[in-house]
Amino acid sequence: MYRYDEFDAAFVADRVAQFSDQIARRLAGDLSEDQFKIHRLMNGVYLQLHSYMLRIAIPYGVLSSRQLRKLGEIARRYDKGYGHFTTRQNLQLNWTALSDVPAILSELASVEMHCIQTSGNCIRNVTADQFAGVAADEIEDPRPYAEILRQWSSLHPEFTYLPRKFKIAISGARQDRAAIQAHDIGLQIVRNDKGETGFRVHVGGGLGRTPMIGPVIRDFLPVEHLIAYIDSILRVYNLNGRRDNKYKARIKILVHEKGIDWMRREVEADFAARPDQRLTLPQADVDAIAAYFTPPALPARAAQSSASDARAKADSSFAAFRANNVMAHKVVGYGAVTISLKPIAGIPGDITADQMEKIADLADRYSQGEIRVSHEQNLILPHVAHDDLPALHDALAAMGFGEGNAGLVSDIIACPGLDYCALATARSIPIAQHISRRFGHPARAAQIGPMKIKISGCINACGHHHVGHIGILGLERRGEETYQLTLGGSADERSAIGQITGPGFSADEIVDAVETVTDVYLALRNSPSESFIEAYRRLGMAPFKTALYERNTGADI
Amino acid sequence: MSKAFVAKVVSANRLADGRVVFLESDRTRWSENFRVAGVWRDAESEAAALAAAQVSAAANIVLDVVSIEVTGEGDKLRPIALREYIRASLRPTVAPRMPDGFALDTTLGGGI
Repeated sequence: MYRYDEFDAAFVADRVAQFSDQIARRLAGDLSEDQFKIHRLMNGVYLQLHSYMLRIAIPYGVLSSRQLRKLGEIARRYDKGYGHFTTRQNLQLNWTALSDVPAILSELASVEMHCIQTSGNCIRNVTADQFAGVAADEIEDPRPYAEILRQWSSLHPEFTYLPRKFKIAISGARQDRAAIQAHDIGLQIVRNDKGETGFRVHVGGGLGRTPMIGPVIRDFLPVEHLIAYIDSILRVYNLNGRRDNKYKARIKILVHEKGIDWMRREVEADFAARPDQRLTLPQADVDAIAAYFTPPALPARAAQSSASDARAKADSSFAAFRANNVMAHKVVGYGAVTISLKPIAGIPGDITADQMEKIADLADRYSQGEIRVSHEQNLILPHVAHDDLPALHDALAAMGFGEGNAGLVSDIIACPGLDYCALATARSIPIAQHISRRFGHPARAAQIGPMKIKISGCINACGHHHVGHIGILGLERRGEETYQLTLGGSADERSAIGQITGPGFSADEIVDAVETVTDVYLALRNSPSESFIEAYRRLGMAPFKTALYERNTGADI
Repeated sequence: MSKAFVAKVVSANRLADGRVVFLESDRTRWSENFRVAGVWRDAESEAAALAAAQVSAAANIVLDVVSIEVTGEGDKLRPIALREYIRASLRPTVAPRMPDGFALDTTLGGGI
């Protein structure tokens, strides 16, 4: 993984010193909240319902065991002993004292981490496929490009005060696991007819109150122009994006209002007008960054593991874990293991300090000291030998993370919702817990098959509900929590925005409504191999809607 | 006929650690305990409490001062809005999987 050079270390140290001074001046009363707020937001400090929340950047979801151990130490020492992994591959601490932030940032800097640009109207933490560099279906590892984008965008003087926040995601595999079309810029690594590597560039995707799937602005962008072209996109957005209304300030609104053809013309014109090649990426620099991501030298292993096979025959829990949580690795005899942070009836994405430290130890023992964070709020050990799967599963089960439910109905994305978030209008976590409990039995989850349920506690859609196969949006109506249901969303290479089923449901009704949807699916699917999303695409909304509202119990929202 | 006044409690977050606090009835002290919050039952006393709270904000003791609607009396006093109920309970409503020493109530409003 990438290691800081002297410049990086000095850069982060300077920022820690600068923000620590700003905090000291705020606590001393030399800065008002209005003056201070923009600084704290640029450094990942929010004021939430119960306390300050600190959002720690995990660049493109890559962590070392040393870093995860440090995160656990910080959570224990400065917070309440736990943290929450988010859909942006970040870690949030929910109970941070402002007066502790300088010490926390110094601790983070000691392991090459920071909170820069995890909030504010700037280019946020670049996210990527959690299986980058590992997945058997990968065209090329996206992490070097994500790192180049991180370096280019950090404290970029022209793009620090954009009309609104700006999110970039990158995938290097044929299957999009990074939800790139739901981002302001989505980058898909592709190869052209000559076998050259480049990017298909999507622009203007996003969720929130106006969900959009990002259209393609460029089918093939040569690697050397990656920064120059994105620079042009940002410039066109910065100059033309709306600043009069924060709800219409994202690039998706600009692209939607002006059209993708206008956007393409403007970007290409800006790109062509800057032929001085200052931003052209020298291949030597790309290679130098890529060298940090050289795959570990994994010892050769047999394709089949008799130990793993024997255990799977004898232990259905392990069999489910192996079937659902182990992804094919480029290297024969290895797998990338998803550690589900979705124990049945647990809080999606939450993890204690003890669990962080134990997973760091497991990463050292079984995965070359590497951990990944997925936007689906799980952790990944990317390089696990099949022979080690039984012992790893035992260790995970002992800490409460042995569930073999990755990609299934209980692998739910949920934002913190009204239990923590100052913006939320309804709770998300209890709904996730109830659904998880209802569908928690492995046999039932296996019967339903691949299913992505995503829950947001407000219209800002941090829980990605628009792109859930089943999406749930929590709203407040006349003082009561109400939940709107959407179906048919997806965040993969066939990204789509889900359609609202109709009137919303109360907190008491929403889990039954989800069960109604799954019952209709099970009754109408062509065969067990037809997944929910495939069946929905074939059947459309009608049968689900009929079943949901035949009792006419929905509240009108 | 004018609308009946809804009783209020003045709340904020403490600057140094962000924790939820309530203005006590002396209009000077702030407490994390909702039970000792001053309850303002007419517009004049609410305005006086908010003015006092803004003095605390100007003195960098608290930030994000809000006046919240409450209902009930004595031990039954509670915020009307769920959001404020959760704030006043000083904890999320969800059953935790937390380490020792941080046991949360599993019922809504366990803290108040």
